[in-house]
Amino acid sequence: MKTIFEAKLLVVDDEPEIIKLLKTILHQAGFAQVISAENCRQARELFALEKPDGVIFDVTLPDGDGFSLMQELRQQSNVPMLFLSARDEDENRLLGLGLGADDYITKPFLPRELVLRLSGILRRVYQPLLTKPPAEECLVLGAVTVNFKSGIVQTSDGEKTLTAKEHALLKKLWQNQGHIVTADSLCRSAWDDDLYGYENTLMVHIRRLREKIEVDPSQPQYLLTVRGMGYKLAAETKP
Amino acid sequence: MKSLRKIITRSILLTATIALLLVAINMAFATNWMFKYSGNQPLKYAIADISDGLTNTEGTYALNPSATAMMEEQYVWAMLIGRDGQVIWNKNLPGDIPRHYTLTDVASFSRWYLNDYPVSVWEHPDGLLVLGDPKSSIWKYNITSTEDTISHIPGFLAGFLILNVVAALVLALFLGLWLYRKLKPLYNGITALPKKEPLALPTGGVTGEVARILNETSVILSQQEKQLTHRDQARTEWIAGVSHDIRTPLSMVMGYASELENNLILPAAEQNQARIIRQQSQRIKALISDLNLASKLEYHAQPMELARVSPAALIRGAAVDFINDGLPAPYSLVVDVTEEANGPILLCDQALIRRALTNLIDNSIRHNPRGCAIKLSVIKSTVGLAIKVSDDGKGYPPELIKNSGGLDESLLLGNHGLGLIIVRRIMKIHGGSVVFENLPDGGCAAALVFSS
Repeated sequence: MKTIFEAKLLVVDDEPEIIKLLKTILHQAGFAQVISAENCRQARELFALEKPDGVIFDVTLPDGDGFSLMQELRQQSNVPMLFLSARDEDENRLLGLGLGADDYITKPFLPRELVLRLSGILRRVYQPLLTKPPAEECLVLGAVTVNFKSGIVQTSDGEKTLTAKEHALLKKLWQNQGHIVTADSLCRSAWDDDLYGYENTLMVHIRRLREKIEVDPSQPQYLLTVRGMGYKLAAETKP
Repeated sequence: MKSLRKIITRSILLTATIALLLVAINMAFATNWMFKYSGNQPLKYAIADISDGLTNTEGTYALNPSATAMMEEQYVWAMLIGRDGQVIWNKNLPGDIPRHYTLTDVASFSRWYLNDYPVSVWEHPDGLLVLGDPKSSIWKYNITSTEDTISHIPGFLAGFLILNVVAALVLALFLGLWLYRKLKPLYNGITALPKKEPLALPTGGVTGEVARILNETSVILSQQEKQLTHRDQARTEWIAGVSHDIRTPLSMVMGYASELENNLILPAAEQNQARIIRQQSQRIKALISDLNLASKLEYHAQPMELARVSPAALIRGAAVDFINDGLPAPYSLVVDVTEEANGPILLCDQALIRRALTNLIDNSIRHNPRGCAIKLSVIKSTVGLAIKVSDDGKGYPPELIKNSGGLDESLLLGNHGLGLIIVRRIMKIHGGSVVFENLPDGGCAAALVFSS
């Protein structure tokens, strides 16, 4: 497999019209090999025979339910599995039981959403095998470059090292660059705990982080405070 | 069981009080009676006075006027028996009364009767003064008692009183216990009624009829409960089923519309039409999901996952989601919390409260197309904790505010969709409420109030 689009996908749904729609969407998105099953029996056979690289299940099937089928197939293989459900309550079951499904989407769904989520899962599972190791994890903020692998901040006046907590905080902000991250999520990333009791600690760490990455820490350009909510790493990072 | 015990205890005390009261009343009555009627008894002074009024003036006896009056007031006749047994003076002496008496006669009538006349005697300097009452007017009985017996009378009376008290208490206690035994199953049955389960109380004895009625009532209640649950369940399932069935065709509408929308071969106008179809399908999707949630909340089919969370974290999360999803320019969203609200002070289902907040923010956005400033805050009042979503927009329609207390859900539905109904039902299953108000400076606020 050179790209994720070479992945063979199995679609299980009792509605032929939905299968047709899914095939159209997936073909258009670039997935060439899409096979389908209308019930659990067919799905089991095809799974054994064709060894698909990813499966999309409907929950309600004529001869069983998608949850049991998934659990059964999961024992044979670790390929990505995604649920397509027409019932809100399935979401609770999926979350509650922790069945090991990679994702779920409720019907009706937007084709773009399905393709994005599916590609995301496939990439996460197969990309490391497909391509060379990813480029070094780097964040460029003006004249400052942060290397997350080494935890070193390169500035015009030399190198500074990030502490473990600073690293965790900056990484969380970087993963959500351009978006606000609540103080609560930051605290969870760095201390794995609720914000309560950490309010000042968090502020202190942010100040130290600013001292390392900002030109003028008292007038931050990148690591911005969003009053009452949290912090945000500015999206614009032209070198 | 506590209240039955209270009832029985009171009834025992009451019965005992009544019994003691009866004893007291009886005693008072008896004492009163004795004093009142024995008042006629001490005639001795009168007799003595009469005796003093009978004087011997040179061999002739005469009763002075005051003594005569006294005598006539109480007696019918009088005679004076001389020392020799001969009647030496008399007044109104009936013919059947002898004129001569022996010692034996005197001993006999002084204790009993003289020819059926009740008589009283008094010692006169010249003999024995005998005064007679009409026949059958006085009952005479002589009591002879030992000194010992007389000296025991006060003790006996006290013992009698104590015995009465003890008997009254014991009987009251016994009656109370008996009542308690009889009423206990009934009491248990009544307290079990709200559980709406069929009862099987024993239907014998004095309380049998009541027990039988209770049993029948419980059967009716449990049947009604079953029917209601069944109906609620059927309704929820029906809505869930319909939603499920709509979602499959809607997937097709949304899927293909979305494909057409992005089909570059189509003219821009057609692409735009496809976009509208896709957008409206998404609205239908949201409506179905709302309808499902609203029905599950109403019929208690929505599982609650209660946890202690920080209300501040909750509103920050909701606000940041809106902002990160791209809140359009004319709208602004701020969070106003104290440090205290960072603590895990709110017991709730986080996902549901998040949903309520989302609905309220959505409502502010939808009803203020020209934009507004939305504020989320946490307030601690005497009633409890409240999360407030306020804006500076055009406010709620007056009828929604007016009826905020006993709000009819049709008002909430208005042109707000199911959003506010869901908010209300979410607060209801949390045991709280939602209060809608218009602010004096314009705009409105909805408070999710959690009772502490």
